[in-house]
Amino acid sequence: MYYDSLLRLCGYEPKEIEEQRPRIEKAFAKLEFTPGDFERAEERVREYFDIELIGIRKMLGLWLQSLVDVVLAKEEGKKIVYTMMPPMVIVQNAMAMASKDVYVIAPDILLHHTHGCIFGNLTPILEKAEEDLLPLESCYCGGIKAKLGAISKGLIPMPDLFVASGFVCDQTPKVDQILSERHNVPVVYIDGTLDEEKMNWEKTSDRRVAYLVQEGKDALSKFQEVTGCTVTEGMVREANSLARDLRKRCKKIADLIRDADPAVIGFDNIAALFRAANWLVNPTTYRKTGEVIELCYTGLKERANRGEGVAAKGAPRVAVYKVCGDPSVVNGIEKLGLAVIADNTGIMAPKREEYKSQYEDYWYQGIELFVRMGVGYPSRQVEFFKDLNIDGVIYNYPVGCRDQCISPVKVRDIITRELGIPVLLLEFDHVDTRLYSAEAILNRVEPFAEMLKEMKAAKAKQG
Amino acid sequence: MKAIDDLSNYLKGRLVEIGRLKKEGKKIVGYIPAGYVPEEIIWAGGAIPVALNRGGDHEAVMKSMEFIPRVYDTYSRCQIGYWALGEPLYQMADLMVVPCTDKNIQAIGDCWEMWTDTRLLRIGIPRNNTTEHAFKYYLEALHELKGEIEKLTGNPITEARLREEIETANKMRFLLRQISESRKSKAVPISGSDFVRLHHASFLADRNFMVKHLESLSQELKDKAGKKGPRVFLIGSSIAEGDNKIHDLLESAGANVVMEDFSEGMRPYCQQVESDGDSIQALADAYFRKRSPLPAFFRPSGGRLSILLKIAKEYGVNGIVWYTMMYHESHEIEGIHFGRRAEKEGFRFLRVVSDYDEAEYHVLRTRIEAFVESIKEGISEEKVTKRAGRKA
Repeated sequence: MYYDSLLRLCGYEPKEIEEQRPRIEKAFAKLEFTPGDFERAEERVREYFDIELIGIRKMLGLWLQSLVDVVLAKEEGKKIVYTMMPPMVIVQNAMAMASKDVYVIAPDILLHHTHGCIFGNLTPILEKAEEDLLPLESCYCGGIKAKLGAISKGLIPMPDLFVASGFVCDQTPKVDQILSERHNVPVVYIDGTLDEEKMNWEKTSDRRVAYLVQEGKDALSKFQEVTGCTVTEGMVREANSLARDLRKRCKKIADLIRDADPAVIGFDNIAALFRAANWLVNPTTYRKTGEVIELCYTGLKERANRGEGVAAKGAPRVAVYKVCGDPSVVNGIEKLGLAVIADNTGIMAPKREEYKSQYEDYWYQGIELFVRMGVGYPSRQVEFFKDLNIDGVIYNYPVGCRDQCISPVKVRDIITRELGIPVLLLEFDHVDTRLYSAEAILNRVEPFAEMLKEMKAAKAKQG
Repeated sequence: MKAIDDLSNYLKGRLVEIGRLKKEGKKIVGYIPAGYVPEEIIWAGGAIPVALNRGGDHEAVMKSMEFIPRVYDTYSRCQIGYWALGEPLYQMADLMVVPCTDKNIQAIGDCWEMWTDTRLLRIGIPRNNTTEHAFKYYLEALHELKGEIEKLTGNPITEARLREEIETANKMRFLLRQISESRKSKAVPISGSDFVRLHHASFLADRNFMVKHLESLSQELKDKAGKKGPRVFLIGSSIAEGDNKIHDLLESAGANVVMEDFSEGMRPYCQQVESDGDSIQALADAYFRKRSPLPAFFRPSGGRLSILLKIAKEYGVNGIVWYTMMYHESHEIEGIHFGRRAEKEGFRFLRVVSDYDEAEYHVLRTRIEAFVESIKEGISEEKVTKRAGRKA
């Protein structure tokens, strides 16, 4: 079939394709995919992803499988729960691993990786959301637009429960509230309070943590009420322990990337892999996700041992803002001779697993660490950019996300002052390719890249 | 109106007076008037509350972009811009209190933390007023505010002082409610712009002066002939002092703004604070748990849209104008949804977005004039239909 070639490229085994064909056919028909979509997807995968590595190919396959799974979940008799990006991890993991009869996913992150990264056809979905509640001119988040558009177009089913991460976002909870009213689907809001100190990321208040713990537990109760699943405290711990295991495996890759010169892999691959490890934790994909991470690690280790890489040895090491949806910009930055080795979300943070909580209680520990992981803290970014020995930062903050936009000017000032490295600020939407030209952005990055190369060469001369 | 003229004269000298009081040792507490900072606590501690609520000025909006990206709502960017422009009122505060209601207002607090040396107190406002843990959170925040004011002024805030201030503030709320309800009559005795001006004045004026002033105004309105015309309910995210465009355009087109609902820029005046029991608890109860309609950032919103439609009917409204600051997400999304519902219920509806840009003026004027005309024509049609019905 016309889609077999893409599936094979994305790590599907021939036997697996045959076994899954009826489901795949049905799902792709619902998604209104055409042969042209698959031709374009193949081109994009070959251009933007490291298909020499079987682990990366299988990682892309994991995203495709999750798309098929969610499209068919309802008719396969599952209850569906839609969380959002970013979810409250402790709750998301517990919900996702609760039962094979419940399918839990953040559709925004899924659509970014499938329709955005692989197929490059997110625009009609975004347009559908714009016709309804989210006008183009208002700079809404591409994630919520993708979710609303895909539901409105009937590409993904209406869930049985919306779980809105109100602790980080104003847009999605409001849209979820309206969808809930329109379609009589329950919604639970995991709200936080917005009184954190931006300049003091290590400090959390007991009150804030306690509030979020209660919100998380209330959300889990609502989940149990709607799905009929029982989630015990033991299950919460088990689910999160499995998720932590995936993150630990990713840590090996992060360490490898940190120490490698030349850079061993393009950053879009890593972003998609680490997100799969964080967000595709459910009974269907968990085992596979672990295998994929191991495959990637093995492939990268071998590459590093051979002294091979995707950038020149000694290329300036840069951090970018997290990438989501469209790989063309980061890919272009790498083609300019820079080694992108980190993003600002801390997904690569060397000390991520080392932070110690001040609390004894399991939930309090989880929530405390979770709130400290927020991306809006300038000094936190300084810490891990320092650990990663970064030569420059391209701070391409996403305008659709009010949570992550707040501090670019301050981040630039602090990084420049404390690390003495240059920062380039770029403002654009990471998802909606109608709103920017990758070429224009790369025109701005090019002189910055040249400057970094000269600085690095001068540094090397000085010894 | 004499009372309005007297108020304008008083306000001309108020900023200088506040400056003088500060020099004499009084502490100034700046805050964002989103309805969650009870002034009663500040007055009871012997400090002067001053709401930072200026707007309508594109220069301040532009200035803010040196500090934060453009995608925060116009009102919030403007508050940052005025501070950056060196606006005297924005430099006076010894303590800045920011009730973090949503991402936009939070951004004001973040900027104050990142760029100024002024002591900052953030009050985290939960988005749900029905759960016990949310109420507890707000209650604890008010205790923290009380502690901060005591520390700032060195004055203990006694229960007796708090009750005294609650009584004064209750009088003010009662009078504002009375004045607002006078607009239920067919001939409206006070314009929407004057009513909003009272709120803005109350953010700066001494509370005792304000109460006396509102009493005189309330008396004056009893004898005043009202104005008839299309009746408009103005709903929005923020109405800043100086943001007169929307009122000016509606009123010059012949409309009466007979009711408003704004998240920022107006004093909540519908709920009285109970004067018995623990005063901080009573303040939390009135400001947080009993507030209605809830602002748009709440979820669930407590039937907010149904309440707004009920108010529209109570005030005999012909049209609803939804006035949103640019990039105020929850308000804009809700406005689109609400508009469809309001139109189904027979209200004419207009959604307007502003960035305080002068370039908006002419486009906005055309849209508002057309809107008001359509209401007038609607009224005529109703009359014709009624007459036809009587003849038949």
